[in-house]
Formats: sequence, C-alpha cells, structure tokens
Amino acid sequence: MSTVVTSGGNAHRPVTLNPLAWRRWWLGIDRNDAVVAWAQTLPGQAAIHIALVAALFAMPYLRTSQVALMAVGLALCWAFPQRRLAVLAVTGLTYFLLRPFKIGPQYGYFEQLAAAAVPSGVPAALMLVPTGLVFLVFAFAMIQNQKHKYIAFVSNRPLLFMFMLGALLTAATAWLSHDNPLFAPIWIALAYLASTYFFLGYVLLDERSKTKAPLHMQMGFMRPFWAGFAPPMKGPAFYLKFQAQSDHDLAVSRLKGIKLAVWAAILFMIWDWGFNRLIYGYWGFPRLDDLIVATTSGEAASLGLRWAAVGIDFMRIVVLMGAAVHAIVAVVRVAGFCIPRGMVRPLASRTIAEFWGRYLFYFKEILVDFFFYPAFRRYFKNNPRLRMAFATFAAAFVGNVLFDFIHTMPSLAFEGGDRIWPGFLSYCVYAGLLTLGIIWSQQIQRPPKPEDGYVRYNVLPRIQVIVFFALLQVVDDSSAVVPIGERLTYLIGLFGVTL
Amino acid sequence: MNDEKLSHLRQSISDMLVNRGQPAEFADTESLFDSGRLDSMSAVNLLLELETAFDLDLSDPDFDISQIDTFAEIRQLVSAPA
Repeated sequence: MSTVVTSGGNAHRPVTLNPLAWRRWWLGIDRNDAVVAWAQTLPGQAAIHIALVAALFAMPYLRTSQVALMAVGLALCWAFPQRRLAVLAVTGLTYFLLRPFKIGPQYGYFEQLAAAAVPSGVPAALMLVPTGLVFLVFAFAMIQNQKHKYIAFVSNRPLLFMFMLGALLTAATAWLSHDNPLFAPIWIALAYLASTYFFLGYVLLDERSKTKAPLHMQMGFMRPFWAGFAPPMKGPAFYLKFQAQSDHDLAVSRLKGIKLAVWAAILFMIWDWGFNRLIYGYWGFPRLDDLIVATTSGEAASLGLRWAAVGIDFMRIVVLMGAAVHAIVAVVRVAGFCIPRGMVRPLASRTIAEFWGRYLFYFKEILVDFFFYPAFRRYFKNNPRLRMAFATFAAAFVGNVLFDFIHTMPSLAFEGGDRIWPGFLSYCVYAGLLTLGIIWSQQIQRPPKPEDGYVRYNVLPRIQVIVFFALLQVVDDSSAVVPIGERLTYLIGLFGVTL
Repeated sequence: MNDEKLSHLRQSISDMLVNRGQPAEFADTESLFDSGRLDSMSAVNLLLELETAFDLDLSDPDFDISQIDTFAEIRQLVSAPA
C-alpha cells in the first residue's frame, strides 16, 4: 500500500485509489493520532457534527422532529462538554414534557380527553406539560422510595409494582365508561406509565448500582434526547461509566460515532435502493406479507419463491434494524458516551443464543436486566438446568411479550381489544418459538469448536442460526395485519406441508 | 483461601473471554459486562461460581449485576462481611 505521512504525525493516509486501503484507513481513524488530534480542533468538531446530522437527515425512518431534537442535544453537548450531564437532564426533561408517549395515536386521544379541561382556543396539547410534571412527581417518589425503602415491597419489586399499577389502570379504563370523570385522569396516568415504564425502570435499577447518577440526570433519563422510537439503552449509571473523561477520549468517542453513522447510512442505502427500489420495486419480487396473504388465499407460488421471500425479508429487516440501531448509538457516541455497539455482526453467530445477544444488544439487555437476572437469582436454585431454562423463559417469553403489551396497554381504550388481542396473540407465538429456540441452544446444542473443522465450525452453525431466525421472522408481527393463522400456514407450507 | 478461589475465578473469567474470542487478559478495574466483553451467559456462569465457591446468596433484592462489572468489584463483594 502506498502511504504518505502527513504533518499530523503518524497518519498513514493512503494515496492509492484502492478502495480496500481507504477502507482500512477509515476503520482505523479512531486509533490514528493525527485524525484524533484533528477531531479535537474546532473545524474537526464542526465537521463531525455536521456530517452526523446530515447522515441522520438522510435516513427518512427518523422523523425530522427527532433529528432536529438530536441536533439540538448534540450541539449543546458540543458547546458545553463539561456540562454534558446537565444538558442531558435539560433536553431529556424538555423532550419528556413535550413528547411523553411512544405511540403516535396516543397523542390524538390525549388531546381529545384534554380538550374538555382547557378553554376553547387553547391547544389541548399544552396539557402535556402539567400532566408530565405530575408524572415526574410520581417518578421522584419512586426514586426516593428506592433510596430510602419507605415501602419495602415497592423498593424490592419496583418493576412488579409498576406493572401491577399499570394492569390496574388498564382494567379501570376497560371497566369505566369514557364519560366517567375518572376515565381521563386514569387513562392519562396509564399512558405516561406505559411509555416510561422501562426508562423509569432502569433509573430504579440504577439505584442499586455503585456508580449511580445524580438525581437531576436520573430525571432527564425519563426520555434522553436520542431515545425517539428506540427502547431505552440502559440507565444513567451505564452512561456515566462510558462518559469521555478527556478531550482525547471525547475525540475518539466522536470518531467512533461518525464511523458508525456512515455505516448506518450505507446500510440504509442498501435497504432503500437494494431492497425497496431494486428487489421489490424494479424486479417486482413479492414482499413476504403479500405472499403470505396470496398463498393462503389459494394463489400458486413455488417452494423456491416462498423460501426466497423469507430469506430476502429477513435480510431486509436485519439491514434496516442495523441502520436504525447504529444511527442511535452514533448519536450517543458523538454526544460523548462511548457505549458499545447495538448490533455486532449478527450473521456471524454460531448459536441461537449468541445471535440473540449480537442482533439487538440493548433490547436483549432490557430483557436480561429486567427479567432474566431477577428470575435466575430467585428461582430453582437447586436445579441448574431448570434454573437457566426458567430464567430464559422469563426473559425471552414473559419479558418479550410484556415489553410489547406494556406499550400497548393505553391503546386498548381507544383501539379496542378486537384490534389489539390478535396482534398480542401473534407476538406470543413468536416469543414462544424464540424461547424454545434459545433454551434448545443453551441446553442441548453443543457449541461448535474450531477442531470440528472449517465447515462444521464456520459454515453449518451459521446457516442453522440464520435459517432459524429467518423462519422466526415469518411469525414476528404484532400488528396482526396478516393473521397469525395465515403466517403459521405459510411457515408449515415451507416444508411442503399444506393444511 | 479466598485468594485461591479468587485466582480460580480470575482464570474462569479469562476462559470466558477466550470463548468469546476476546484476549484473555483483563485489568482489575476493566468493565467486563457493560463493555460487552462478556455476555449474559457468562454473567450467569460467574453468578453460579460466586454462589458455589463463596457461598453467596445473590437473591438479595439490593444486588445488581452491575455491582460485579469489574474484577475489583467482585473481589470487594466476596470480601465483604456477610
């Protein structure tokens, strides 16, 4: 490789047109002294921030308002690097007060309920601020109880307590008439609790951490500015651990972030141009859901086409999820927290359990932190295999299903059970199959070893994992647009069985 | 006695790192789980070893896995009076 040494020191920047040499150089920028030094200069910092925001705007699955909020948060973290935690608190609280819910239609329903409480001409959305403040009082009380253990059951089982509260509120919204004066405050309380359950949950879990964050940062973590559509990615104590402690660390964190943002943009382009425009658009290849509906209603499709639709849909989703997760982690890293990646080469996994950890790391962490560890520490301590299987069931099935259900609880009131329950049932089937797969992987599958030979170590286990998750994708849908019965019929049909 | 057990525990963690394709060496204050070097399965194995070798009861509601993210924290946990 031809290289030159720049005036910055040991920056071996390729002068060749060989793209592989440029790729190597690009992947090493966070270890390149000259680039790290440049990233600490004002032009370097500006270039990184502008490039990141431009990359985010180029990904239409992020809403413009979300990107704008991230841009403001990043700009403030850039302007006040020593006050990064305060920036997180202020932006997080502002975000929470203005956009507290995770599901779009809940805003419309909130405004409908709040309209009765505000004078005509005043936007009902303004009521989000006082109701948000009331919920923050509840969050504050929960944190204080966690610190001081005023109510032992609530401090020992804060997540169970909040779930029971949510279930009670859900039952009340189902039981009360919508005209009842208690209905609106109960539904609003439920909507806040459901949208903030896992964010507040992490703050409460952090109270047990040795590096717990100050209270103002904990309150800001009800909705960090990067959260958007994403589930919480650990709690404030985790971010304290990965916070850049020097200008050098900050530059490295930002460079790692911009590398990830570029990779996210590439993945997004593959998803948009490769899958949507070329495969599904120009070539007219059928989308999986369309093919499921068509084949179950009697249209003919070859077995090869059915399998290909599954494989292509699986790859499309992996690429899209990769783009989304990398974009969010990129924002966090440029903000100054060099957290681990949210997805690390999932297709290289050799076991089902390994894929589960590599695919959506932070979602898996939620299930592990909130469900797996508590179950593992408490139950079946005298039977190691049962103990592991039960803890896995608690995370992969109970946790997975509850994660979906908790976010859906407020929607039951205005969408109705007929619309929600089929999707929930569908997700239960998905979570059940996933759980069986992981338990089989942990308890029965022998982890492949290098001495098994190249094919048995590098090829077959990976194919096995990819096929499992690709097939699982057929039933992974909580929208119920395509009923679970049709999905299962299609799944069985892939093996030549027709019902 | 604890030193011997801790030494064995350190070796177990090194083995877990190697099984995950990571370098076997790790500093006492280096993050093992939050950093992603070890996964939840490794954490489970570590919990089992802590329970059996040091007779710890980790079902205490105040216990959290983040309390044993580094070897220094593990040493502190097993050295603390019950």
